[in-house]
Amino acid sequence: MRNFNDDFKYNGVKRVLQNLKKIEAPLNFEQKLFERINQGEFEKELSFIDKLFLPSRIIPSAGLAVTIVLIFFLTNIFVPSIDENPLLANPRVRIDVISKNINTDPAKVENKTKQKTNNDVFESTEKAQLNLKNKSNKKTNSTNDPNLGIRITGMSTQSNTYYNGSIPASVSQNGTINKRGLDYKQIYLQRLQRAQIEQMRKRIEALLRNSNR
Amino acid sequence: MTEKNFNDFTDEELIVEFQNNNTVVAFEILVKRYKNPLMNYVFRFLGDYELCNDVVQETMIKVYRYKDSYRSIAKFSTWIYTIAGNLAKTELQRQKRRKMFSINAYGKDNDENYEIPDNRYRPDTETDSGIKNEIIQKAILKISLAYRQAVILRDIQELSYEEISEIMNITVGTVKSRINRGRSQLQKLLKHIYKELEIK
Repeated sequence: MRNFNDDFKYNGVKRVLQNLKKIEAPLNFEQKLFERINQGEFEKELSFIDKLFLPSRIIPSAGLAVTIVLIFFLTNIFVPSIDENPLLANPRVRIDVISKNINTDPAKVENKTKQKTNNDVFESTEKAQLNLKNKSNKKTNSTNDPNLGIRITGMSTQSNTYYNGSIPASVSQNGTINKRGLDYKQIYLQRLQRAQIEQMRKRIEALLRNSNR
Repeated sequence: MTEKNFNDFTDEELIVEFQNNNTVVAFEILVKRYKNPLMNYVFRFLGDYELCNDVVQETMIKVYRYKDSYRSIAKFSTWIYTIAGNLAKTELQRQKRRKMFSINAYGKDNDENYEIPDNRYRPDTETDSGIKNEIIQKAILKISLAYRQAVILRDIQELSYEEISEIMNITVGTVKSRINRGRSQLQKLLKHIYKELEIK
């Protein structure tokens, strides 16, 4: 076992170190010391808040904050705003054309739509007939189908207006519907409603063909 | 109580007197007792007289200011040596940073003339007796910090292993190990002049 107390091995080094000249304090050591003490020149203990605002701490944190702000602005500048693009903006809701009866249940909606469509069509047909009787005495070769409730105006000489609920539609003389002056609302039709409309369209075409014969 | 009486007090009694009654005379006696040993210790540690003077002054100021943090369970000498050692280490780190900074800064302004200081004529080297002392001092500064502190405390300051263990906050076994390693390194560094020194 190595004996650390046995300093014999390093006796020479020990002697050399012990013979080194002793360093002494300068003569004015105490004078300077007490001057410093009396003047209070020693380091003052910084409080926690003072330490927080040291340049060594505040500079990196300020740099980090500025970098974050810059990154935020740079990333937002190059992203187009959806609100500013009119083509991407949602259409403005018009209160005067919103349907009063809104039912969210699809089955009920389909049934109600079916009934309502038929009723509306009948009502509008009756109104249209009355208007025609009152306003015009001219004979037309138009075809009236009370069961269907549709007035075909392909051969009519005057433009007629059909009322379907809240949507007034303008029909021209040649039977095409134009959007001029049209107050309409785009609605999404259910599959059943589309099928019904398609069926009605076919029947009208068939009636037109029969009437031409 | 007069200063004459205080001179008979032990270090621990003096610091307690300073703590309890704020007796400046007691502090002055402590300064007188420790200024030279601390100067010797810190100078061997740093190798610069001016820096050493500043560090020892700072140590005394710390003792004055933080007198209440001294506890009677420890020896006053170990407490004051610990403070001086820590301050000396801090100063060494500062010096390293300054050297790195000056090396980086050097060459930026080529027009500027730099004067390389000649330490041979500095007062700190003049106090040492001759070139051999300077060589020994340089050799001490070359050994690693932990070994250097242990060797200085043991062979120059002649403190006990237990005191060194307390100052360095390591076990006595580690102290002995470090001292022997430090001595070994010194022996290698001084082998050129070792025989000559031994003869004298």
